[in-house]
Amino acid sequence: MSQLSGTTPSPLAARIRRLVRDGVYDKPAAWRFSYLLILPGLFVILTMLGIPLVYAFVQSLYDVDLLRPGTPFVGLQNYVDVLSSSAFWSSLRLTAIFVAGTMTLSFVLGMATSLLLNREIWGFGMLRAMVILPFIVSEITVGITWRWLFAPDLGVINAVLSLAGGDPVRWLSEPNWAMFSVIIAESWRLTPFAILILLAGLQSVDRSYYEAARVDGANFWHAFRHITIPNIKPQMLITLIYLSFACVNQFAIIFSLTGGGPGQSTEVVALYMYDAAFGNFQFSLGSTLAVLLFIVNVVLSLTYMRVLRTDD
Amino acid sequence: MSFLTRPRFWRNAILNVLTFVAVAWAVGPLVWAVSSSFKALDEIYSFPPTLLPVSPTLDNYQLILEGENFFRYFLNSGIVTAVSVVITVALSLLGAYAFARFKFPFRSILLMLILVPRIIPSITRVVPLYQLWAELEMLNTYTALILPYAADALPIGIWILIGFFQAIPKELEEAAMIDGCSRFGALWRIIIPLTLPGVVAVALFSFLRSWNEFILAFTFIDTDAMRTLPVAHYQVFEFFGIRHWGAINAFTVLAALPIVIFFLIFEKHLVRSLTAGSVKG
Repeated sequence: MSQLSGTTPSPLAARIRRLVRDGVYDKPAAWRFSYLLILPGLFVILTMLGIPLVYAFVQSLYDVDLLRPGTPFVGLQNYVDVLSSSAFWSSLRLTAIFVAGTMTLSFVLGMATSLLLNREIWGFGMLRAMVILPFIVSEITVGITWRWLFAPDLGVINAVLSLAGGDPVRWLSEPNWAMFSVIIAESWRLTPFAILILLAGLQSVDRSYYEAARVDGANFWHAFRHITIPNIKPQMLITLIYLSFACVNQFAIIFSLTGGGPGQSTEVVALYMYDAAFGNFQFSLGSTLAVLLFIVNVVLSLTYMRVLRTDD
Repeated sequence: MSFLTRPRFWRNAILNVLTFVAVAWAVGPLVWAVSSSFKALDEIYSFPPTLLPVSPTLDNYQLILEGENFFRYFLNSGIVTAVSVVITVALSLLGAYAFARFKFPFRSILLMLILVPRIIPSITRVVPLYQLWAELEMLNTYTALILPYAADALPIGIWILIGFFQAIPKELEEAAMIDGCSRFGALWRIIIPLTLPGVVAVALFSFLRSWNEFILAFTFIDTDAMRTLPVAHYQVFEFFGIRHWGAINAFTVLAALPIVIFFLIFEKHLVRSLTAGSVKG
């Protein structure tokens, strides 16, 4: 690289030259080859992921309204407006309920299923494949499959309820039941993920621990608390963190199951954002909400990194 | 009948029943969709519902395959997915190779620039990307979906493959180059075959995400001819009304079938790629 060995070496160039001499870096020809290999992937990632995010942030500082001409700069006014609107806090509250409900249900079901499958059991491979299926199909398939199960008049859940002597429930058109229904559908889809990770963890635990515990007279709960949980703690953390991302960013299942309704009773932040941008053409409000949602993701990621680091 | 009095027998029996319940919970909704898809409309409307179709019919499938542009949607999804997978695998291989093999200035900054955007979910970039494609007059094109799908899978693809490349000793490649291979030749003939399991994992990861993706496709596509399967699946109610559940379920089965078949063939690899995305990310 001639510019690095030119007549006026910058401190950076001098430092890099020193590092090459000491063998920390390869020869410049190898750098150029590396940059060439990295460039296409980096270009796609930055243009499709990085620039849109920056654009959303910039747009959140302006007052863009497609139904009105002019885009005045308003600074952080959009954030002030959003954070002082009841619609935002209502959607955030619904998101919290949805995330907490789904994470709890899918984690508990995933743990229970993993424990059941982690035995000497006939047809293990087939059973595992079957319980993973809901995670493989599309989110729209999940939404529509559950919409059919929850259908008020022809749905099988209400049919079973009436056969058992109960009253049919309008699952998707009563606010609390609608939230319950989207939590069930999302948990159904995410439980397999918990199974994949937790089962892998369970299978890595040395079986001799359990035999020793049994000799000492420990029952299932003792063994679970003192052997299983400490041994699969990393897998439990990874599962919980992944589930939190998946729930916070969930759009398609809720969109296809309830559309955010009835009223706004299942309109989590993701749906509120989409509706603001594409339902009401308030692109600045949509961008502001997108940035806020992104910040939630960043906070989750930082927690993720910290927890995993301290856990090692 | 002495085994009936043994606690171990009863314990196992109860656990087996619970296992059956867990499996039924997972596959039950899909089995119900399959069963409903073979029922005629009057059977769908009958009470109590029948577990299996009494008089199985293919009418619902005929409705979907003849009444809708199903093959076009399938083709659109296929093209978008295939190109996304090829781009993802190719660019992941190139990038991961550079990161695993060479020491160069700004390496860790570049690696961060590639990995960190992974935490930007589709939902937060659908608005600006829509505006970008609208500005470029590229809404309703395959490219408008392929590029974001590739970008979505690339960070994880590069991350998975760096691990595979690092596991291959550098001497192996140098030996091939001494024997007259160019660097690309060594990469192509020696290194890539050794990373095949990683390539399969990356390809499957990208395949699943692209084939199932909804929000970007729903937003960027508004002509019938360009719709992908998940979008057409969502809009099936507009076509049949909300009560033609036989046809709606037939669509569900047809849309899910390719992915289920893939899953059965590649189950082991898939488990790896599904978990790699989260554990390593």
